[in-house]
Amino acid sequence: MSDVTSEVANRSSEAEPEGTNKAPTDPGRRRSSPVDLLERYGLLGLLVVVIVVFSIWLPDTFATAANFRAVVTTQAVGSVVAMALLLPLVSGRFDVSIGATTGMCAIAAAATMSRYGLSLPLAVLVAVAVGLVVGLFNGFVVSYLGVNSIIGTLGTTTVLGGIIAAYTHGTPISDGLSPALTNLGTTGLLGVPSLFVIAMVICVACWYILTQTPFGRRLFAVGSNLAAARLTGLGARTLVVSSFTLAGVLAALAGIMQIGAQGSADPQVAGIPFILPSMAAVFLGATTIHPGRYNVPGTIVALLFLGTTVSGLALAGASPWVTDVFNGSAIIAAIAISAQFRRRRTGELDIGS
Amino acid sequence: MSTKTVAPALAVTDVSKAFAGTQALLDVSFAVTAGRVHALLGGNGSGKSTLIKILAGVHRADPGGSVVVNGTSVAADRLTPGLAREIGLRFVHQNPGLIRDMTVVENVALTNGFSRTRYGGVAWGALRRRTRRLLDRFEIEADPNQQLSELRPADQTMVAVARALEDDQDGLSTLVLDEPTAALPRHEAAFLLEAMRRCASTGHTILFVSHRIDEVLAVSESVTVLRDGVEVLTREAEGLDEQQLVQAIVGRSPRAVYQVPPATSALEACVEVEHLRGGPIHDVSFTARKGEVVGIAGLLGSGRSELLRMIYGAHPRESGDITIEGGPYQANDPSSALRNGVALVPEDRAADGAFLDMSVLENLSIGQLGKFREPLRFRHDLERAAAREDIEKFTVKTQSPSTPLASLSGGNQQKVLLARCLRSAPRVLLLDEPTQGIDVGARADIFAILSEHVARGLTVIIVSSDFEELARVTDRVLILRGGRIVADVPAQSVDAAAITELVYSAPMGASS
Repeated sequence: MSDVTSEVANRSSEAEPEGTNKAPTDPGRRRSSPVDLLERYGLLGLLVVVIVVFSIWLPDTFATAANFRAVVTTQAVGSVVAMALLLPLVSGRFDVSIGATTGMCAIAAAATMSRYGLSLPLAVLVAVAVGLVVGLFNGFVVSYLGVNSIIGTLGTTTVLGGIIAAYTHGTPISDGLSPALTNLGTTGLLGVPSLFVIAMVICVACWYILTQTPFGRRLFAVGSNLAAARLTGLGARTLVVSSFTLAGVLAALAGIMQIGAQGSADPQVAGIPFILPSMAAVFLGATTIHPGRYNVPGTIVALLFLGTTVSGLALAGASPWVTDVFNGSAIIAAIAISAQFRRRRTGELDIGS
Repeated sequence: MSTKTVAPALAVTDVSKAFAGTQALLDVSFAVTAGRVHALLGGNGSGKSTLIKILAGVHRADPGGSVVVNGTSVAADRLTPGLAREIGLRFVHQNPGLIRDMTVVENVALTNGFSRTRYGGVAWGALRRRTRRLLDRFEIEADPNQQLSELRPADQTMVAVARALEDDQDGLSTLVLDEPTAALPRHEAAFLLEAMRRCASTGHTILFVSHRIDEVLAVSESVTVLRDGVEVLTREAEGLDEQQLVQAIVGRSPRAVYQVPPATSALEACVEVEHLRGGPIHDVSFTARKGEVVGIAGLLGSGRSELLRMIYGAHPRESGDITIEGGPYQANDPSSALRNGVALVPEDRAADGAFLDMSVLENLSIGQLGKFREPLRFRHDLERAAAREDIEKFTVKTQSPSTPLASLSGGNQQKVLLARCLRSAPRVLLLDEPTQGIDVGARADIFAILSEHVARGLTVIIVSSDFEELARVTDRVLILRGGRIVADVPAQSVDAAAITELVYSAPMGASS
């Protein structure tokens, strides 16, 4: 969660020179009003409440280091998938093929090692190349062929699903994988699971791209108002293609990590259900930390909130279907809340598209 | 033409309306004879639109006036959209609310109701027959099942007219047609006028709002002119000529068209546009000099916005050359325009200019983000300092630089967009209706800043329908009419009235 704090620190340091301007800034600075604070840190507070409640309720099973390690390990792949979803969403497009791309890249990496006996670095390279091509294709279809992003990437999902089935016949690839990769799920760095460390490095990189580069800012502008972005000469088409391409690469990284978490490349992974928890986190994340905007720290807080709650419920004996109902409800609630926040900012509530 | 009685179909009596201190309409009275085409004319700010909105029940008139339609009298301040319809007023607005990719039948049924079968489904057969009768009645050459977009433009408008009058078999209602020809090419407009005349000859009464005087004279049997919220002329159209009408609209006798060579001609040329064509622009040539403010005045449909967008590379151009400071300029998209030092503040702020859910700061710097980029980090501190500077310089009223643009007033949003454009240090600034819906204070601020930049050599081209403003802030005004520049006058020799006069009546083809 290092980037959560750095983002927060960054924001408050920005707030410092506020008083130097004699323009009418002082009366009621937006950010200090209680409503704004609640909007901003409400979910973080809720995460703490969930942890405290489950810890009191289930001191022997929930409040253990092992359980927390399990939660963050489970969320590691999910957070990279969330990053892949996030980038196109910032530009106002939706890539639902992330799950299929993740699955496809996992199979590609595993096959490189297992069937062709090549090394792990080469396998990573192959997976990233596959993700890049898929992302480039999605971006081209959306940006240059004018296909609605949800429909277009739904098509990609189905095509990739078919290719995976044809190649694997539904059997996971688990032989001949590099042990360095398959052990990743059990190793740790100073007690922190390695997968989680890798995930956070990737998240920080995404945070950097979105908030510390002109590219990120332009992507937000395209998502905010496409016509204005074009008239401002931002090169909207290229930006959209880039966001999908980056998403493909991130999905590839998630696929490799998935092998590490599972010990094999599972053809069943590739699909929409796989990305639902991450999708919930991205939308829920947009209601917090930087409300009204898709943001990396918010997404991570949301992911931990969802993961912790699901884990607590499971340990308390809830049936597995509760997870689906919970994640699904979270998506709807998150989008509805975002729409309301957006209305507060822009004064308009659009009909959902 | 009409064989009906001469009792008025529509009588407006003593209708007044004040908006926050300005008197938009004052005791306006006139009557429209049944079965006639009656034209309603007036320049910008004459109160014409306000009157239409009062009749439609959109605005409430001030107490005291009345509206009589076919003998039914209603207090003008009590008109609602429902009541207006009930007493027999029908409207086809500038945007007639047609859906182009639906069929004629569907377009008619959407407003007038779907005929149903006894099981509750749509009785398509009955609906088609009903629509066919309607099309026949108004002599529209179309099949009920045709896509609306396949119809010629004039017929599309006639579908809107027909559907508004479907339930009025006896011609008892009055149809208000608001600028129906503004968006039509000339031959289509002529076709529509012919259809309107036929419609009136079957007994319908039409109140025809238009800017085109030649059309008004061609089709109307009587005319009412509003000026500054007051009715200044109501009479038969017979014997009326263009000069008299322009005089009534402008408020003084027409003068000769000024073609004095502009005084600034000694300055170095900045933008040279030669024989530009494309869309509504037929043939436009002009030169704007360094440090000059050139105004473009034209009516709706004259191609004024398209001209600016064409120079900015945001509207396809068919032919013509543009040079900037002597060098050739090929702008095929906005980013190449910006690289060549041409910037645009678009007309529709919310749709084309503003990132409303992003902050003031982000809106300011979006075009010039590279300035704050360092190898490993983005200089948020420099960006913020630059934003503060602009906020102060442009006196933008905002709580902080991080406030979302949406929470600023229109005038302040416009200042932000202008500041954004000026950050790219353009050589040419194109402004499309820069002060639309903006208060007086913000206008003054905007022009004060512009004049600073102009003094340093910036060339500004302004499209505005506020002619008073054009006369006051520009050096030269080009009159655009029918996609051509028909007059080029130095601003010190014209006022708003003179521009209005030119916009209506400068001879076509004067400079082509």
